[in-house]
Amino acid sequence: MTGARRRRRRRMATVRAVVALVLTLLFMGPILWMISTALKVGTDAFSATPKIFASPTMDNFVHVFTEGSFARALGTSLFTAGLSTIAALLLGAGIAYPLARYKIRGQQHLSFWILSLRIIPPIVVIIPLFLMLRTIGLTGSVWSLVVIYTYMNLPLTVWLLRGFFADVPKEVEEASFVDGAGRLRSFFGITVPLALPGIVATALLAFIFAWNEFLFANILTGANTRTAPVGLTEYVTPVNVEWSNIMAAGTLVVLPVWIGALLAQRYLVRGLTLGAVK
Amino acid sequence: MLPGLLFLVGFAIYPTVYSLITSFYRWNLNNPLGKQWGGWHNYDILLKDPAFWHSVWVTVRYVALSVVIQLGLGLGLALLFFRRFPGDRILRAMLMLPMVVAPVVVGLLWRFMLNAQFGIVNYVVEQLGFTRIDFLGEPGWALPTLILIDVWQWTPFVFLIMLAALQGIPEDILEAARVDGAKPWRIFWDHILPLLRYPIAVAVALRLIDAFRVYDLIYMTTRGGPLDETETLSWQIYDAGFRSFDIGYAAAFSWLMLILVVVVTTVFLRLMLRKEDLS
Amino acid sequence: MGRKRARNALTLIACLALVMFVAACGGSSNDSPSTSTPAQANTSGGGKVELNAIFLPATWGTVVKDTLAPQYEKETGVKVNVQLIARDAIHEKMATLFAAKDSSFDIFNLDYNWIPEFAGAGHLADMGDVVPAADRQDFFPLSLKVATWNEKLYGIPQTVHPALLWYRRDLYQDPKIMAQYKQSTGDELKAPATMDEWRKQVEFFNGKTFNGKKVYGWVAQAQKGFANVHTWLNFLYTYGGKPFNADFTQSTLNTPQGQQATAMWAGMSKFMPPGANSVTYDLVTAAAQQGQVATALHWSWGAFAVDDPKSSKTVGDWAYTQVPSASAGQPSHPHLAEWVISVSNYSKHQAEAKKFAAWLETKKNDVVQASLGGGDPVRLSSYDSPTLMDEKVKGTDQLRFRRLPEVKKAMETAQPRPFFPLEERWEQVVSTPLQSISLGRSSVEEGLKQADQDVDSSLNR
Repeated sequence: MTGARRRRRRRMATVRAVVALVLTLLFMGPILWMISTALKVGTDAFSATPKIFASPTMDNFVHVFTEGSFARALGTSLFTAGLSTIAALLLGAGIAYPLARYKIRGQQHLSFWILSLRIIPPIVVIIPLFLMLRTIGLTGSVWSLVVIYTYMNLPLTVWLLRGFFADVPKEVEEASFVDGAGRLRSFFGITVPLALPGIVATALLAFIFAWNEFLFANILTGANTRTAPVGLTEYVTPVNVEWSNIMAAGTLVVLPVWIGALLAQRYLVRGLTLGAVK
Repeated sequence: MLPGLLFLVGFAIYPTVYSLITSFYRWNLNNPLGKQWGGWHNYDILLKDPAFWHSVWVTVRYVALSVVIQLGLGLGLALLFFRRFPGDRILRAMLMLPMVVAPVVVGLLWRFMLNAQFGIVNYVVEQLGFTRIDFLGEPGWALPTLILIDVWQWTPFVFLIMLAALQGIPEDILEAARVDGAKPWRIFWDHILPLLRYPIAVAVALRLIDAFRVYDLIYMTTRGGPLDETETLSWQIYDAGFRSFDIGYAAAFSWLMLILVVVVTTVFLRLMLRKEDLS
Repeated sequence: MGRKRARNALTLIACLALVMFVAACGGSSNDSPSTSTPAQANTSGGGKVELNAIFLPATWGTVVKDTLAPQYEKETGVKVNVQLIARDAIHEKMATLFAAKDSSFDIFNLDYNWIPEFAGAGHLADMGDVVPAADRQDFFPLSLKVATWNEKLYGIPQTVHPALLWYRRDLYQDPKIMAQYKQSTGDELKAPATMDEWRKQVEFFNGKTFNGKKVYGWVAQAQKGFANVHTWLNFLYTYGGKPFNADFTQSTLNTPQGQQATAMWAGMSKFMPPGANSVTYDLVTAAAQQGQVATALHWSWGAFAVDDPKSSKTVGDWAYTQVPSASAGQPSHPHLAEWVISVSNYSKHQAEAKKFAAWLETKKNDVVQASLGGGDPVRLSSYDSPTLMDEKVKGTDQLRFRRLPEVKKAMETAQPRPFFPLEERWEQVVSTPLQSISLGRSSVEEGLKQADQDVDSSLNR
């Protein structure tokens, strides 16, 4: 009986594995095609009968990385996305923690208002934001994007972090007060480590959003401060779209965040659990 | 809390208030006369414009369909991955890929693949014996295609949340139900789904908000066409604000959109969540 | 719950933080000149002027970025940072910068139809002083006219490319095909002079297989937006249609000429390759390069791309002639495309910026740009330049600039887009009813009536 059941279970696992493999391939397909196009020479990339196995070449990657300013754009992206993520986390924690710990009158509205900021289309706020950035003398520099991305991600970090902090049992914190730790020390010593998976997940999401952002970057960056998604559009020339170069650049844009997501996968899943499952 | 709030006040309240005030002006950036007070003028012409209501309808269809499909697929995938099987970790990592791809790359990549003449998808379509389809240009096809692209990109996100939620369900609840002899779909319906209420609400709310904002994708693919079939609200706002520089009109447009999004999300969250979840 | 797990997580985030920190340092040290504001950058380096320019990532932009700007720095010591930005983004960026009276960019590459809106609002600097009256004689008169607003010159023409009719020499001169054409239509197969002739040829070619390759009748930009409008304008102008009354207060599309033009344009759309509704400039070029079409309505300068063996299978095969006319003996009126170089009114280095803009279009550099594969020349004298006119496409007997005589001729009758500040909005508004006509969703008359209505109400927004 138990042996039959185990066998059945194993068979089910195989079926599931096959179904999952097929579905994963469907989702992976476009990305595999992107990578394979990046490995083709220009005339093979866009021809009437697609060549699935053309002789691969690294030329496009070399071209994208060494000629023009794409490598530099990747650096700028890393800088702005990284720094703004850290800033959004710090500022976001500052708002989220009190929201999670204290009964603040009308806080339900406050967090909803914070979330609603994410809804306003960037086009509407870009001119006032631009004017403000100019007042503080940041236009055209990478710092303007750091500021904008922090602003853009703050609602998300507040919303997610509030959930994670709320999940840390009050009793654990209070115990540390008894031991004589101050509020701040107990926050960094107890709450942060306990909520860490959630914080990592939040950081990763914020990073991805900032890394991929296009509209603000397109308008706000200066001559030498373009980010990778903006730099990529340089290959879309009006006369012809350099598909193999775009795909190479696209692969380079995707790779770092994917690796980051892989490294933090456990925390991402667990973090989302903490936030999503009360 | 203070520095964060100060930052928000500085960078969020000011632009918000600014845009609200702007929405009452007749103001084209390149009009040498500058701003002129218009009162309800912008709102008035918008609400009477059939094109506005058309784009509301396009947006609602886009958002509703893509979110519903993502939820269904994401939940299905999560149930598939819930019990371990050989290679599940690798496949899960692969499945995450689409959601980290920059929307600009997504738009270009799909435009490349869906091209009627040179795209791989149409090559496959033709090999299967069908005629080539201009997915992004044929009336009737463009909107479903955009929805499909959104589903492709964001199902993994919903899947991850659902999977996490499933793994958070205490095993003894499921075991108890199984011992009672409940059928699998009964267990899912009676025991699992109620526990997923909050994660579903969170996932859907996040997706709703982002789907309403869809812009990069349309910018890179259909640009509102064919005809007016993919003229979403955010695209029209872009058009008014950045092609014509009608800043006042675009601001009024966004406020109407904001109201729509807030109403839809609030109603949805109220329906999904009990009072205690919100606090 | 897992203390250990928490510790692991802490290690991970510490590592991540370290990576970020290193990246941040790397990033900031790489970008150190650019993290300072442009105003500071301008004055750095011992008071030497540094200019910031935005050009289109078309070949004339890359030529400036890769060759001419570095050369200018060598000659004058003035460094020009050139950023290449797509068409929409230039427009958006200019509006934002100008709204804030920002000075971070000095020089802009403009599509000429933006001259009225930006010059009218006072955002552009008067360029009259750097192009002396005597020198203006050498430019195409039309090219200067569309860079002028309220009688002041606000841009220096950098490239003109009126639409031309492209046709495949290899097909049109193939004796077998010529005989076949004669047999089925009774006419000689030659470059079409009138729209009716062209239509007949397009119908003949469409869907047939020649020398083992299936071809379609013609291709042109047709995606909704500026693309379909820009193609349709060739027909409208050629049939004598006018989009507006004299002072741009009323749309006048639904006229006999407008109807005739639109009917011809829409009727021909069925002879395009499948997927024509999403065809933009780059796809026209791709179809021409792959030899998928017998004819094309395309901007002249796209010819560089089809003679490039790296991406084209039709090197040397294309020939160019005038857009067909409405009836024999009359001229046609192709739609003009042109890009100009303008200087921001908020630039802190206007004089230097104007000097650079003018230098890009000296007699010598107008030829240099073309021969480096930039846009088509804007100066009449360049059209007699032996450097350009005698060069052959490598490996063929075809002249590399065989299109230029036709470009010069087309410039005599070409017409610009409606030259008024709301042109971009106008294109957007008319594109939808036009596509509705070309898709057969509405009749020509209904569609044009709708377009008139939509345009008129959008003017009052």
